[in-house]
Order: sequence, then structure tokens, then C-alpha cells
Amino acid sequence: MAIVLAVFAVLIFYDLKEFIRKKEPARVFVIYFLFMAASLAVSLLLAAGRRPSSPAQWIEALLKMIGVMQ
Amino acid sequence: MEKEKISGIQLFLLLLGFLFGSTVILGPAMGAKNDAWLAIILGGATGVLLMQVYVAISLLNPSKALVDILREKMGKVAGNIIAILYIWYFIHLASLVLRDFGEFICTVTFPETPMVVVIAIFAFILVYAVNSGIEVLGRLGELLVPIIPLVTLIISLSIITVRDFTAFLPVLENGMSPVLKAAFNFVTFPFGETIAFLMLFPHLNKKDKLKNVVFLSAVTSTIVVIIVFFRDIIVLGSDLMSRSTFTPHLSSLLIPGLNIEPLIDINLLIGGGIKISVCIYAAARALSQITGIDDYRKLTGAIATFCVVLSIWGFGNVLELFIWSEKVWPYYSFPFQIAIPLLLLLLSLIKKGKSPNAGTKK
Amino acid sequence: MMHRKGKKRTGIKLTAFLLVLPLLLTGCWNNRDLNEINIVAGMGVERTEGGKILLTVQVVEPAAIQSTSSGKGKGGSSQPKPVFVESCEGETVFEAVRGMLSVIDKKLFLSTAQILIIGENLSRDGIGEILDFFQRDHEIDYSMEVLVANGATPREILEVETDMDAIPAVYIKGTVENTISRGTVKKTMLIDLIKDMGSRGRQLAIGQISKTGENEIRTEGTAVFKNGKLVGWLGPYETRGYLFATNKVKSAIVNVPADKGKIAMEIMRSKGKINVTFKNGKPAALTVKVKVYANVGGYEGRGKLDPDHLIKLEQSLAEEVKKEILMALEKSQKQYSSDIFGFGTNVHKYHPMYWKNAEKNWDVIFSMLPADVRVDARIMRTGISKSPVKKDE
Repeated sequence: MAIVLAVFAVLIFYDLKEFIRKKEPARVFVIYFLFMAASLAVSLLLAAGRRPSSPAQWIEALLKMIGVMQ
Repeated sequence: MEKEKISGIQLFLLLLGFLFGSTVILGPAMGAKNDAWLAIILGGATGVLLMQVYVAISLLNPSKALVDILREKMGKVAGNIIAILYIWYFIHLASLVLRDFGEFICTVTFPETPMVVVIAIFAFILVYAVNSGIEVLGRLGELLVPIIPLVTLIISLSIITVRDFTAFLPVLENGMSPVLKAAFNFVTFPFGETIAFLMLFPHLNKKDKLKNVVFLSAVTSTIVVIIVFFRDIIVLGSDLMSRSTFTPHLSSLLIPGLNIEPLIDINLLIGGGIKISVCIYAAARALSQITGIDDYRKLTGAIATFCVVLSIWGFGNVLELFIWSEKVWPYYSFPFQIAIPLLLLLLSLIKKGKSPNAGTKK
Repeated sequence: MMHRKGKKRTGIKLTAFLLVLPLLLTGCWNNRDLNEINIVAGMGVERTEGGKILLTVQVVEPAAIQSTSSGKGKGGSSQPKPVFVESCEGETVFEAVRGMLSVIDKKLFLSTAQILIIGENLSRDGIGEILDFFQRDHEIDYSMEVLVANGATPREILEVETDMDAIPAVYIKGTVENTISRGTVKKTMLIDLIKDMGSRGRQLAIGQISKTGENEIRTEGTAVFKNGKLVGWLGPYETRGYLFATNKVKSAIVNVPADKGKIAMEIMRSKGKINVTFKNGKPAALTVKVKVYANVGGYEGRGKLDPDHLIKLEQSLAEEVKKEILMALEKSQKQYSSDIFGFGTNVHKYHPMYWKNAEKNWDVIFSMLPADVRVDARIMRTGISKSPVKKDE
């Protein structure tokens, strides 16, 4: 858990430093944090040992719902 | 117009590396067992055609990448939505390949290293490669991809002494349907996945070469896959071949007297590395185009991080991964690889007929 | 100014890079040095009376090997033994491998194991379950020799101390490798077993090992399996017949009776092919075609070698080889009804439609079919002597 937080902290710190230095527009921050927040949330859940149902399963369920797969 | 350019041979090798990708460790079309060679030929032929569809789309929309084509042909709203779906698809593909890679390394080479460490380190290197730009990727391909067929050849020749040349008999024992199914799987993995290259085609320095380059790479990879199949079945027999997790690795273990299984790892590092880089590049590039961010490099880090997380998140274990890849992947990929590109081709042909010089800014 | 700042940054980056590099030197995650592992040379698996798996390993002591090879002949009983043998029980093979750590100090390194000896009791109960571990584990060398112990437990065999090689497992492996030039034991690599394990078209046949003296073992004969269970044995000559038929003989010595005495023929080359002939969509006969090329090796009797005689000799050599093949066929058909030759595989390949229905009771069909064995023998050289040492009386 601590390792996950540390890794993400380092990654975000490193990237943010660049972004702020170059004065990036807001949308860069928005998209960046969208991805990072999603990754962090899932990683924390995984690290806590609670695997949320994954996109692979959603897709499988979706395909079954449409009736392409049985 | 794209500033960065790659040459015909570089694109050829990148495509080849992409097509080998995880195929070099999984052995495609194994669902057809003895008749996999038939499935490979059928699937290969279809794959060549499919890739020509992509080429046609690219040629009808010169110097435009996938996102621009989508927006131009389908309107801004629909185009953007589909483009976002494609971005998801590329990210998902990259994460699947990462997972294949991680599973292989953790099963075979480093069984006690946590998979996430293997995947993260690999992804870290690939982000560096992607951020270096498409030209660097091209040169990387030029340098490394020729190793893959070479290694395959070395392994094939080394185990030619262990032989049962009639092992692929009987032909069509279980009828045609498993063959067709396996052929369809082989089209969607790996040929259809080259849809990601629609983001790369505009970088080719000579447009007239595109057709031949793509054709040659598809044919070459089909031939290599057939060779690999015959090698594996001659050495392992159909029963063991369909039972083994990583078929080519198993046959490389049987080389008498020396141990060259790390060469398979190298193949995967190169092929898988190129495949993941191309996917991350395509996703980052497409995303930056949609959002109007000037440089895709700002997004690669975030996308790659998400890929790593997704690859771990996706499946509980290797069996889930394999079953999913075999059962769900072809259907899931169908719209992305076949339906939408065909629609695009149709739209491009119609609009081409209407106004030959139709060009929009951006 | 900018320039200098840039230079400083590169300096920091370079230092950071150099500092990270030593991390790579630690090697793999589970890196273990040579002195932290026990190098396994041979393994044995047996089933105890309680139904558990008894795993025996023969572990090499590298240091001791060094001293025995340099200090040989000096006598000295303080010499450490080059290998030691340990056993451990477990419900499964893997549990036994791990349980071994309670009796030995370092982790077992299995990749170097060259032989696997399967006990008779275990073989009779079926080897399918234990083979799975050997197939699945990533450390196992697929080209390791597998043998079935006859009349002795694997532990007894692995404990043999031979003067010929410091490591008994290497010695045993050597004798099996010689099979190429004698043809009386079936050389079976682990991969062959894994390949044929699930197949109904070819039953397993594994080389046989037995203990002939206090410190001597003998690899001769073949253990015949049926559906993964040991059903019986083939003697050395039957084994050779079996190997002739399945094209696995490279060289052998076949004794041919001559008018006065015996002639030893050295088989130089041999080609065997098996097939099942079909009539009206049903298998009619098992055919075995063998072609052997031989040299006259020794003439222990009286007489002369002349062209007429050579033709006769060729015929009697063919007759002799045929006899051995028939012996092997007879035993595997009538006594064991186990298709170790792989006739079934042949049917599967060329008559898949028939095979689909016949697969289930192929053993029965196989044991009923008549055999048609054809041997063609050629004598190429007669050596550097025209007639035997003994003169006619």
C-alpha cells in the first residue's frame, strides 16, 4: 500500500514539475489527473486485496448481453 | 503534415515486430490443433486483405491519421466518440500484451519476481522509447526486429533432429468449424490489431511504398508463423502442443545439449516491446489530437501507468487471460478491427467520388 | 548561464544514473549463489506402503568431487563422499521436494537432475499424477532420462557407489546413452513420456534398471505400461525387437547361428517402419518392415565366408531379427495388450474416421490383429579376415 502511494507520488511529482515549468494549459492537467486518479484508485484497491470487476469482465458481460457470445 | 518520417524498411520491420508481438510466445490458432496450419493460411490470407483495407483508408486520406479521418468522415461528435473508443482499445491492447509478457516472464524466467515489477519496469523503458519519437522507434525496429526471424530459424534448425514429420496428420479430424474459428482468431490476433498503425502510416516518407510494405510484412509474418507451427508440432506432437501454455518456449527447451530458451524471452522483449510502444504511441497521439494538446509526450506517462494498472487489474490469473483472449477478444475486436474500418473505407470512397480535393483543416 | 545550468543538470542526471546501476548487479529477485543450493544429479520417486510419495534425491557435493578426482589412490577414509542421498515423504511430489528441506540444509536445484527413477510400486499404481509435476515445474530438464526400477527401490539404486564415475547418476545416464550402440534398453526422455502420456495410440514404454550387485546397476529391458500403469516387462532381446520395429536401433550385435558355431553380426544401420493395413475399412494386419545393414563382427565356429554363404547369412540374420520383433509383438499383444509400438497413432493419422470409434477399445483390437513382419538384411563388410581362426577338422 505504502509502496503504491510512494510510486505514484514520485511519478506525479516528476510529471507535475515539468507541466508547471512549461505552464501547460488546464486540459493537460485534467486529462493527466483523470488517468492517474483512475490508476491510483484501482491500484489501491488491488493492493488492499479487493479486485474490482475489471473492464475485461464488463466487455464480456456486454457481449453476452447483446447476444454475440453465449 | 507529420514532421517525423520513417522509411519503408523501418515501417516494414515495425509492422513485423508488431505482428510477431505476443504471437511468438503463444503460438496462434492453437484451437485448431493439428489443423492450425490450415487456419494460419486462411487467417493469414484474410489478414493480408484486411491490412490492405487499412492501407486503402490511409491512401484515400493522405497524411491524415486515424482520428482526423474519423472526425472528417463521421462528423465531429460521432468521430470524437469513436476516436475515444479507439483510444481505449489501444490502451487495452497494450495492457493485454503487457500482461502476456508479464505472465510469460513470471512463469518461465523469473517465477518469484512479482509480476507487477516485471511489467512496470518494462513499461518504464517503453515510455522512454515512445517519448523519443516515432523515428527512434523506427530505428529501434530496424535494429532489433530482424533478430526475431533469425532466432526462430536458429531454434527450428537446432531441433530438426527431433522429428515426426507426419505429426500434423490427420487433416480435418474435427471438421472445418474449429479451423474457421481459429482462422478468425488469427485474423483478430494479430492482423486486425495493426489498426493502430493508422496512426503511424502518415509518417511514411514515400506513400507509394505503403501498399507493398504492408503486404510484405503480413505475408512474411504468416510464413514465419507457419514455420513455427510445423516446428512445434513436429517436436511436440499435437497433444502436448495444445496442452502447453507457451508452446514455442517448450520446443526451445528440447534442443539437445544447450539451453537457448532465453532467446525466446528476447523475441518477446522485442516483439512485445514494439507492439506495446506502438499502442501507447497511437493512444497518446490520438488523445492529444482529440483534446488539442500540442505534444503527445505529455500524456504517455499517464497512459502507460494506466496500462500497467489495467494489465494487473484485468485478470486474476493466466488461465482467465487465455480464455478471455480466445473467447472474448475476437468478438470485442470485431467492430474496431473490421466493422469501423470497412465503414470508413466506404465513406472515404464515397466522399472521394464527390469531391476529390475535399480537405479540412486539422 | 543557461549553458552552465544545463551542464550541471546533466551532471546530476549522470550521477543519479550511475547510482542506480549497482541495483542491477544484485541480479534476479530470487538470486541464489552456487554455494547456497544443492545440485541434484538424480531423483527417484516411489510409493510407500502408506500410499504416500517417497522422493529420493542424489545431491552432488562439488567440493568433494574436486578432492576425489585429485586425491584418488591415496586412500584416506576422511574423504568426503562426492554425493549424498536423502529421501522424504509427502502426499505429492512437490510437497516431498519442499519437505526435503527439513532434512537437508539448502534448497534443491532440480534443473541439473539427469535421471529420474520411478519405483515399481508407483508404476503399478500409475505414473500420470507424478508426471504432471515434472511437466509443470519450470526447473525440470525435459531431456532427463526416465527409468523404472525393477527389483530394487529407487533409493537403493541411487545409493550405488561406483568406481567408474564420482556421480552415480552420471554413470547411470551413461549406460543408458549406450543404448544407441546395443539396443537392449529403451532410452526414454521425460519429454517422450509427457508427449505420449495422454495418447491412446501409443502406450508408454520406459527403460528398465535393476541392481545386479552391491555397487552395480544394470540398465536393460523395458517396462511396459498400459494407460499409465505398469503391466510388465520386456527382456533385453524383446526390447531390441521392439526397438528394431520402432526404428530406434542405431547399432547392435545380433548372434546368428551358423552351421558350426555362431556368427556375431554388427548392425550398422537399421530402418524400421510400422503400419496398419486396412481392408474394407477395417484394420487387417499390423505390418512391420525393417531393413538392417550389418557387418560380420566375429565368426565363432568353423567354415568359410563365400558369396553363397553370405546370402544364407543374410537370410538367417533377417530371421533372427524377425524372431526378436515377433517376440516383442507377441508379448505386447497377447500378454499385456498394450500398444507400445504406436500402431494406434498410425491409425489415427491415416484413418481418422475409423479411429474415432475404435479409440476406446484399441487395446482389444490391437491384441487381436495378426502381425506381418518383414525383415530385409544386408551384409556390407566381412571385416579383415576371410575365414575364422579355427580350421576345419
